[in-house]
Amino acid sequence: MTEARTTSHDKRIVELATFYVGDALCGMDILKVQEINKLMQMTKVPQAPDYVVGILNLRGQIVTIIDLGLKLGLGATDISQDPRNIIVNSAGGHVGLLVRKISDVVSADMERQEVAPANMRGIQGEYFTGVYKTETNLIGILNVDKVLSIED
Amino acid sequence: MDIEDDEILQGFIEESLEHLADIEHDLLAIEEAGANIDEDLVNKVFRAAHSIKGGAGFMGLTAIQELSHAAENVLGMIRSKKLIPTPEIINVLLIASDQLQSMIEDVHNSNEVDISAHLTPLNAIADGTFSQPPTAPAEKAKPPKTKPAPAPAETKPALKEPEPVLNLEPELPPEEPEPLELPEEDPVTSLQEESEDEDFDQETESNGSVVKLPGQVSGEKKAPPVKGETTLRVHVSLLDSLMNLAGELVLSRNQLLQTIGSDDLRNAEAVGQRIDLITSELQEAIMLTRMQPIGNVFNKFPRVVRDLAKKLNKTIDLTIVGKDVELDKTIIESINDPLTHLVRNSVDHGIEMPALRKKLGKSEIGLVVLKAYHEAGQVVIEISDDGKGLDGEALAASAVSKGLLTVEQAQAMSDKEKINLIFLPGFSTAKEVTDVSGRGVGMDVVKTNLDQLGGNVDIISEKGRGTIISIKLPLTLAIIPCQIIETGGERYAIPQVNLEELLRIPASQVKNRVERVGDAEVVRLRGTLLPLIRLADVIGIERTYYDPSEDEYKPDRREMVSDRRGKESPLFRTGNESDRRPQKQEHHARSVLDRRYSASSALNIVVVSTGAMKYGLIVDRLQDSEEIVIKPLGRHLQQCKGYAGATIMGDGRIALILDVSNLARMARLTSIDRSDRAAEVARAAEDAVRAKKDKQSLLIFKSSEIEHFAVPLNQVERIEKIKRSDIEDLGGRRVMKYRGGSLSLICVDDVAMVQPLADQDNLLVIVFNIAKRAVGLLAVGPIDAIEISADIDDTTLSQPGIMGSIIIDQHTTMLVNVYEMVHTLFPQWFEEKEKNIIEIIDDTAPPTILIAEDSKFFRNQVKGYMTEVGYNVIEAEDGVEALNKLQEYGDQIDMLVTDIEMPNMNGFELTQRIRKDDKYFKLPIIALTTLASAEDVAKGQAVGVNEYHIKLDKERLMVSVHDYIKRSH
Repeated sequence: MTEARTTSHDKRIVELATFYVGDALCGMDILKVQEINKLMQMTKVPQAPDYVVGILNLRGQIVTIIDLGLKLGLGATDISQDPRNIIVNSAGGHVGLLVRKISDVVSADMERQEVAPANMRGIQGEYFTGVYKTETNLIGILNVDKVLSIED
Repeated sequence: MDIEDDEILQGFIEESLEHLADIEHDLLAIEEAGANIDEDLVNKVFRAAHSIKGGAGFMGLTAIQELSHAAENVLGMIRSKKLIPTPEIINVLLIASDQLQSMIEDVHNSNEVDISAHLTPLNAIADGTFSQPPTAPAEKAKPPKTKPAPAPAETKPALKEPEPVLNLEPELPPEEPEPLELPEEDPVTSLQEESEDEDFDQETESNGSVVKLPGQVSGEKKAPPVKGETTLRVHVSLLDSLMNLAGELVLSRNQLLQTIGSDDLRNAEAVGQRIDLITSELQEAIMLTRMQPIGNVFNKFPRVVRDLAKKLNKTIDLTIVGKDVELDKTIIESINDPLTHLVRNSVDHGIEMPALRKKLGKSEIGLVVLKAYHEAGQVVIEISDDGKGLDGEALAASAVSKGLLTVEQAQAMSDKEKINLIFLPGFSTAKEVTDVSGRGVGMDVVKTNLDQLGGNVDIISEKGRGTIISIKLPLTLAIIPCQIIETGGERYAIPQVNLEELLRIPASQVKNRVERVGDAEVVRLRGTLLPLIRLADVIGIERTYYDPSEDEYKPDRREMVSDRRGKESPLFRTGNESDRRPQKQEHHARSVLDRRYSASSALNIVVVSTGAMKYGLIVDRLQDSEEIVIKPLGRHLQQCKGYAGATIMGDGRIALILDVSNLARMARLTSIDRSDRAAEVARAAEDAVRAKKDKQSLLIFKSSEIEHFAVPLNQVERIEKIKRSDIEDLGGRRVMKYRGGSLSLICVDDVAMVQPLADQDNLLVIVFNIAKRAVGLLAVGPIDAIEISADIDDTTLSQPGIMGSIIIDQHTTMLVNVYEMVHTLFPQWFEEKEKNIIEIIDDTAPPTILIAEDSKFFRNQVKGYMTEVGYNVIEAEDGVEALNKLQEYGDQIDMLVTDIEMPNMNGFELTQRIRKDDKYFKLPIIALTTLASAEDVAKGQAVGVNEYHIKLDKERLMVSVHDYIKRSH
């Protein structure tokens, strides 16, 4: 995925939208984000995979909301804590990623990205392309395509 | 190829294809007319060929030009009556026009097509050397089946085979770059447009009235390379009205913006209404642009049927009705294949060979009717033939042999269910695969295709008489009317197509109408047993019920709907009686506040049907019916089979659209259709209502294959399914293991002179409780519980073990007297009790019992019970008479046994009158009913009935009669 980056920044500088899933700080290319919104009224879908929180109406489009916490194996995101939806445009339509909190936008030099450890704070390594170190933090860079894939 | 101007070329293609579409139809008409030439028609075809020739010459399309020229020559001769159009000549022309069409569709390669195979016969006809009218030369020149141009020179362009007989298969996608249009995504959706009645001249000359969009090749016969699924022909007036509406919408928007600015609420309402109105009109108008006459599809069938019939040496008349019925474009396009398949099936498999038809006394000419009409907001397409029909038995046998069905399942099926087996995947009806219908495309594919369109298929078939296949289709797919329901606090939409009716069972009736058969719950709906599914259970959410007084949902903990109150009918008592009893008492102990007395415990049932299956979906609440727009669900939800999509409701929230056929599958509903048997039951129930007589619930069964038997349902304790091998013969008795003990088994023929028990492996044991012991009556299926008015004949067939006969659904059914049978077979069971009774009676003068009963049969039965043990009996035919008799005999009468339903004065009134009189204040009154409903019991107790008993339940009745007599002495 990082290879596919064609953001025309000479130094492969990428703006990362960062957010908290559980206690883990994650980030993704901001260009993949269509919008971020608050949790709107969702409709539950019985029998859906457990990580699907529900579906919501985004200006006439049906958007599936995935709890990133559950998907990454970090436990369900607490709905009462005013979580956010990151709407990403994926191949099969819009999908919303439910995260606990939105953090800053970080300019990251992707040259300095490091390989993700197999086990990052209990998160399944497969969902990350790598980690990026800032002065204060470690950002796990999310492999969005992998997260949105349907493995089963 | 030097085609400079694409636009001109495009115009030529469009025009030519339109001509060709007409030509086929007209040629068939010319063929039919024979020597009796309709000059206008021939002229029209001639001109069409001429125009194509002219255009092709101008474009440098020499092959097309040559071929159309040859055809024109022949047509010219027909026009000038030098030639009589025989079917053979027309055949040549038709095939030539097919070839022309394929060449025009792939115009860039048309010059490379070898058309000599077409030119030869055409020129031969023109020269008069085509002298043998028999098909030989034509057939030889071009086997009309597959390759119209068998020439070796045939190169890529021939990828489009005219395939004159059958236009079903999607053609190969073009290998060369698509010249004009994007390649269509779905090559199957080929569509032939023949604007049959439209005058050809008018169409070309007065183009003004018709908007031709660029690139338009409005759906001619399957032309994958060029065909424009992307364009559409729309009438100018419709476009004008669309423009108008759009203008209106813009105005309204301006108004709305102004209103919002000015804070004028009242005006806002008006604007809102206006926008509402315009939007619906706009929607309608846009829908109209997508509507096309079904004739577009139908028109190709005369040719299909003609060619196919010819090939099979059958004579078939095709009648087409309702060409003008309009359907959404996408539906029209997708219906083509299934329809073709069905029509070909009718011709190939349905219609018999002429010789056979003659032998069967049918007309040699087979009849296939293709019909379209509107019905209940849907379009129905019917394909009917007067052929041999479907043989349900053969289908069932075939399904069994293919392992799609077990023998037991097959036995339990109604005829209709058997016929519907044809839709099972992996089921091909043709014994041998013919190249006509058996192309590996089964009826299941047809059904799947139609299901995808939201359509339904139904088959009605009578063996030897013909088959009617009717397809119900929605008018459009984009917007569908739906019933909105609510369960677990979420709204769901059920497409109206699947909706049969809405059913609300008030709390007070739930007990009577919802029954339990095994694990399944069923509801009695006009005599039909309708399986019930709880939506909450199927989709796996917590059960709730809606409490309107508090406007909220509460969890529901009942296991079964029928658990509201104990179901007294012994048939439905479960095995663990002891476990259930205390629970039941607890139920009854609850206060009146118990919610089962409140309105909220009413059941809301959506009766839905999907194909042949019909079931009731229990939901929390029913809401309005709405028109919704279907939106697809994201890919993460594709695994949820229960939903057909989602829609956005007026408040912006989403409601899921339920897929009722998948829900049934998820709930493992097995019954395909019970309608036949249900109809019987319904009839019986109706009769009973009409007669307003005593209704008797009977369990009907068989013992031998031939004779029908019945027992009163309320005597039945249980029904067990057993195998013959379960029966043990011990000490001259038949017994089987049953709940840890031995159950004595009896047969009707043990006592009565009837046919012996059928020799079957699967047997039923109807368990009765007589003299405090269980006894099993061996029987064979099918069994059914029915309610019937008691018009019992107690003389004709009366014999030991049989108390009388009754006509049930045209079968004389013998009413089995189980009590008497047991008495005969196991007299020792009764000895002790009878001694007891005789003691009481011997003490004094025999007690006298007054029996009030209007039905002679029941009166005699009850009288028989009484006199048998030594009581005196006085009879009365109704309440009034009973009252008179009571006055007449006064103190002599020790007890009254009365029916409830009687003419003149019913049992309630009689009891009331008697209780008013101080003299008879203490007279024991036993009421007899056929169905002891809770309401009746309560009412009876209110007026002073001492006890309730069920007619024909001799044992309980007698026990309580003895009891009261003993007490009063």
